[in-house]
Amino acid sequence: MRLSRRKLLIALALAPVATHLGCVARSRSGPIAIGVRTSNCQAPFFVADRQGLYARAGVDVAVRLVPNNTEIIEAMQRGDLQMGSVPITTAIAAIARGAPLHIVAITGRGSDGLLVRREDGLTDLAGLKGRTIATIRASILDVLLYDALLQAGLDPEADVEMVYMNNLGDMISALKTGQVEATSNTEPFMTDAERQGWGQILTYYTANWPDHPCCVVLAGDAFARQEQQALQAILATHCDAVAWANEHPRETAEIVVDYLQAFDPDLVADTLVPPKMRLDYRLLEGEVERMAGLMEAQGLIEQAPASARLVDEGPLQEILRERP
Amino acid sequence: MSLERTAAASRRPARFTFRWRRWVLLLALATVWEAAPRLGLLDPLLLPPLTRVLARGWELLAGGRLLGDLAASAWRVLAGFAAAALLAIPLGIALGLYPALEQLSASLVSLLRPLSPPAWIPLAILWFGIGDAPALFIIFVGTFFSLLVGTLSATKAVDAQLVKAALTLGASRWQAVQRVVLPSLVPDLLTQTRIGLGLAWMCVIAAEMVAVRRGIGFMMIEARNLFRTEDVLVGMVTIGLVGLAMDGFLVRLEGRLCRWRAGLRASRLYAPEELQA
Repeated sequence: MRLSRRKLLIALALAPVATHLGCVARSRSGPIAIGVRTSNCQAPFFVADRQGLYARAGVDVAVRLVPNNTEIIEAMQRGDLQMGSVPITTAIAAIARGAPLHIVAITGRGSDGLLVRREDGLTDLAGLKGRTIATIRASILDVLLYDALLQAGLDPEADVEMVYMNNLGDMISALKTGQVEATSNTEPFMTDAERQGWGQILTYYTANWPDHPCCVVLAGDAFARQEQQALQAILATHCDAVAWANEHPRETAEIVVDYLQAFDPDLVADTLVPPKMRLDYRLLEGEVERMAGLMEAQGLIEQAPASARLVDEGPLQEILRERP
Repeated sequence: MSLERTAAASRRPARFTFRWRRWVLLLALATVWEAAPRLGLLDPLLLPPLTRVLARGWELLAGGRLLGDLAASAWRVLAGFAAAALLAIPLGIALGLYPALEQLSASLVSLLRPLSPPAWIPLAILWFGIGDAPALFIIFVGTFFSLLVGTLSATKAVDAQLVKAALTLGASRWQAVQRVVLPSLVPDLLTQTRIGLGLAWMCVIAAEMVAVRRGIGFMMIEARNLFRTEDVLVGMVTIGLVGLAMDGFLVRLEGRLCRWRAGLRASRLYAPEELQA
């Protein structure tokens, strides 16, 4: 009895060491794993994967679909993923909490806005006063909604009633059935609602912040340090995939639909191009910092991290220097 | 006299050991939890040190947020569970007493029982709108089937000889239910209540994904989105402590209401002497 208890205590003491060693051992024995979401703005990754662009660039990459933004960050922390693509707000929140990651590129701009019911006859943001709006707490949809309401002269805490939900589809259902009067949502859900005849896109958030970034590409610091060439090759492939997707929206939509197993290719093709959204890889000066500022103002992060802590533009700039 | 003293003295270390045994594992776990992230063996973003979690818990408690969220969740848990119990217990008894009814409902119960509470979220929004109603519904469906099946099984296990004896002594069928079946069910119903309340606390996280702005589940979901792992752990510990308190209360209640059952427990034959003491 005494002996088994001692063994138990020793096992408990060694558990974290074993876990740690497990993590170290897991830190890449196979391909470079990139975690992506089931969303339109991940199109460049789907294109690169489907067309074998990574292999052509000489890197062994596995694109993994992950159902949740936070799971991508957590998997990167554990060493299960070396890179990931998440909404910019998720990336900022993780870095603000000390995650050793950097934003190295983006995947797209725009794509989100406010959806209302056609029958309600709303024409502008001011008309939302006193109404209920569904959003996902602490998401990019929440941050941009908050900013848009402020810019329209409304107090997000007092003038509207925020209803927090956990996924895009539930918010669409709630709006369609009249449980809420607006939803902060994204493409292709919004255009789908308009095509069905009941929805009306009140505004895109690009009206307040033209060309705002939506999803970003993240690289783990250890991976970026140890495998600089692989990171360069992946980013160069990302740029090529974005360029191809912008030139071939219809083919891209078919690839996206195949990966997501949802939506209609016509609908997706319609929502991959301006003014609804624009696939891109460039990091514009100050845009990540601006988003971090909005998150700080909303109380989602205690303090916006310094620019150098958020973004590592080096690898992308090097690629762009070599290109015409 | 001196012999008794010697016996008492020899028992003392055993009791002392027993009293502390329950804390040894917790203490070891707490030490590992504190040390591992501080020594860099575990990522603090995935598991912050225990003292940081406790400090954050105190901050949330002192600021009033934790109590507000706890009150909101406790209300949902108790209301959702009460609604489930009010329907499931009488229904379970009826199904247990009338085999024809049980056969009639068996397929439906087997079909609905495996559905996890989050699977009901879209329907809950469609049927009940937003606010507390869908959250209560999710807790209701999360506990209803467990209570129903538990009550049904307990009712079927009531000693038929006792019921027969009551009927032979002139009791009506309803009186036999009142005087024999229901008292026999009390220990099992208390056990089912303990299990059901535990399930209700498990369901509250899923329930608070639906359009609520307060609650421990909401706090944990928000914290996870913002990588505030301390807050997630504070929520988990809070739910654990409240569950422990509720369970402790029910165990005491069971001890009072079912004293007659104590002598029947097989565990008496296996428990060490000091545990019985």
